[in-house]
Formats: sequence, C-alpha cells, structure tokens
Amino acid sequence: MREYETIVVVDGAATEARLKELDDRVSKTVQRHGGEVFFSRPWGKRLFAYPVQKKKEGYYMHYDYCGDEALVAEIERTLRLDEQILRFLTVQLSESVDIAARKEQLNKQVEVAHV
Amino acid sequence: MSEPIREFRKKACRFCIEKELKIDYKDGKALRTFITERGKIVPSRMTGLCAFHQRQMNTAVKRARILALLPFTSNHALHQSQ
Repeated sequence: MREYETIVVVDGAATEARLKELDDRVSKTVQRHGGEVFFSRPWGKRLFAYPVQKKKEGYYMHYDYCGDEALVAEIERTLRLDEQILRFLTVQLSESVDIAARKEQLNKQVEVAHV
Repeated sequence: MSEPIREFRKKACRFCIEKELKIDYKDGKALRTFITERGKIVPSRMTGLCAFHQRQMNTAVKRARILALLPFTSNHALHQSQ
C-alpha cells in the first residue's frame, strides 16, 4: 500500500455543499478500494498565480491517503468528470506505509501544533 | 587600471545546513524566492543550492505551477507579485 496526496483545485464559485460532496466522494472511493484517508485539509479560497479557465480564484483541498494504483486511477477519473474541478495533482509520498504508525505520527503532529 | 579580481566564495547550500528545512511544492510563498520576477527558475549559481536540492526545488516549482500557486510567466499575472 502506497501513500499518496492529492491537491484538488475547485472553481471559486463552488458552494459549500459542493465541497462537502467532493469530500464525501473522495473518502468513499478510498474506502471502497480498501484504503484509508489520513487527513483532508481545506486550504480555503486562494487567488491563482495566473487565470485558469478564465477564473481568478479557487478552493484548494488537500487529501492524504493510502491505497493502490487502481484507487488513484479511480479518484482521478471521477475528478476529471466534474467540470467545477479545475486542476488536480497527485504525488506519491511513500512506497509502503504502516497505517497505525502513520496515524499516530499525525496525531502527535497535531498535538505539537496545539501546544 | 584593471579591475580587481573578484573573490569567489562558494555559498553553502541552505537546505544542507538546516536539515529541518524541507522543499515543499505546496508552499508557494517559500518557493517564490527561487523564481525571478518574470517567473523563471533561478539557476543554482545564483541560488547557491547543491545539485540535489536544486533538483528538488526545480520539481517543486514545476508542481506549484501546475496548481497555479506560482506563475509560468509574469505576462499572465492577475496581481502584482510582491
């Protein structure tokens, strides 16, 4: 099982419900393929460095999960179908991941951030 | 009168000295120091990075460009970069 992260750029005109739906869709797809979502982090609305499909701003979503290549292919396929999704980028973080250990590590990071 | 010969001092790679510093394509603000006003990637002789970290920075900038965090060129800029 590999760890991946995907950044999704959604049209700035999208509604809250739309973003939530995207969240659900990603987490459901990951679960269906036997993966695990480590975190999903919204970055909020940001101004682009250059116009994308004539739009000036968009919502950024950051997903960190583990799974196999079939999962990534499936997620990217569904993202491509949505016209409000302007861009996405998936990067492989590690070749193999221990789910429990990674979760603990992330929990610790959160604790440190709060202290 | 000839100009004095410039003294060269090899700059040490910033990321080799501070091991905690990570090159991250998600951090557009930090990567802005590695592109020119026109949006070009600054060569290693200017940045002073070692070959390994220059390469890391290079791919990071290219990834950030895909996500519209950094510009490909200043010609299409939506706002004045700082």
